[in-house]
Amino acid sequence: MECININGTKLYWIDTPWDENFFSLKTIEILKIENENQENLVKCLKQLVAISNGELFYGRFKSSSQRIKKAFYASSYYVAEVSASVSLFRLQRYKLPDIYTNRLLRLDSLSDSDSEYIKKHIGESFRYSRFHEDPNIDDSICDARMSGWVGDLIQNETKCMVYKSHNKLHSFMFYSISSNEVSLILGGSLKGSEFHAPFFWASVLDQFQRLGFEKIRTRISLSNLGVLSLYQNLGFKISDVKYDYHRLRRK
Amino acid sequence: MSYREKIIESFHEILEMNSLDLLVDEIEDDTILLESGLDSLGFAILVAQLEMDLDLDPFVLMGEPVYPHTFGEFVAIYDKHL
Repeated sequence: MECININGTKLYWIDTPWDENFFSLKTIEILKIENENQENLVKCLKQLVAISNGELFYGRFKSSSQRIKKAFYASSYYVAEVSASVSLFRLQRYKLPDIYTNRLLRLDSLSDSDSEYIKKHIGESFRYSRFHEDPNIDDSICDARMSGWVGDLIQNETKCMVYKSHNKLHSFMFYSISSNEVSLILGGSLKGSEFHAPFFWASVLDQFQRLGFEKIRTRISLSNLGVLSLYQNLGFKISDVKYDYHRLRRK
Repeated sequence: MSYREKIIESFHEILEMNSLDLLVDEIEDDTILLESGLDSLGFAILVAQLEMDLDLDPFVLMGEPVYPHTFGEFVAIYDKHL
């Protein structure tokens, strides 16, 4: 991670070659801003362009900061996505809503054939993501990136639960664990299996509860009202709303 | 009231409760469920509501549930398990 420091305002950024492979553009992610000062931040963003040779810049920052918003807008960035953190605490005292209790599904772990199936079909299933929602980026590229991300998750042996019936994979959830907390990384129901989604999500929560975890959290796009409603229905709390600022610098 | 009429009535109630709009002029047998205005959570609520009203959840009775694509298929699943 590299840092630009102008008068105490620090902007941290990295090259993201994993995204560059799909977009055929030099991609830069801005990870963190410290000591927000609008004027200094504008200078940091200008310097980032000068030193990074980037073509697509992006970074998620809290929506409530007017200083950050003004600095990004003044630097030709636009908001591509609005996302929020959704969290469920005290899982050991949690009770699933009644509509799910008799309808839980039997979950399996991921097999090699499941991995290939998800990689092949995931592009059809996602319409909301920080890149899918950017009007300047073609959907087919975002779909390919999603498939590539799944490939990386599998290669890194990320934990995953799946639901299959009648020899067909319907839903999957990649996740990581830290202490007593679960982070949901990427999950979904494949096209044609959307009806399974609420029961799959409930089954995933039930499984984590049985395994003794206390907290579950993830980040979702607020444009995805179906998923937002589902998390609300399951009792998750919404916090930490962020804008995903993008800038496309055409050469 | 027939099962079909009861399903349509509950369908409209859940649309209203969730501030959702019906996306077709009228619910017909060939209406694609996920293009009707209810999302997957809406259908989960519909199935639970119908279980309370009809004392029947055919998807639980199936063991490994197969979910329908059209409204006609949805009603047929209920008819089959009467």
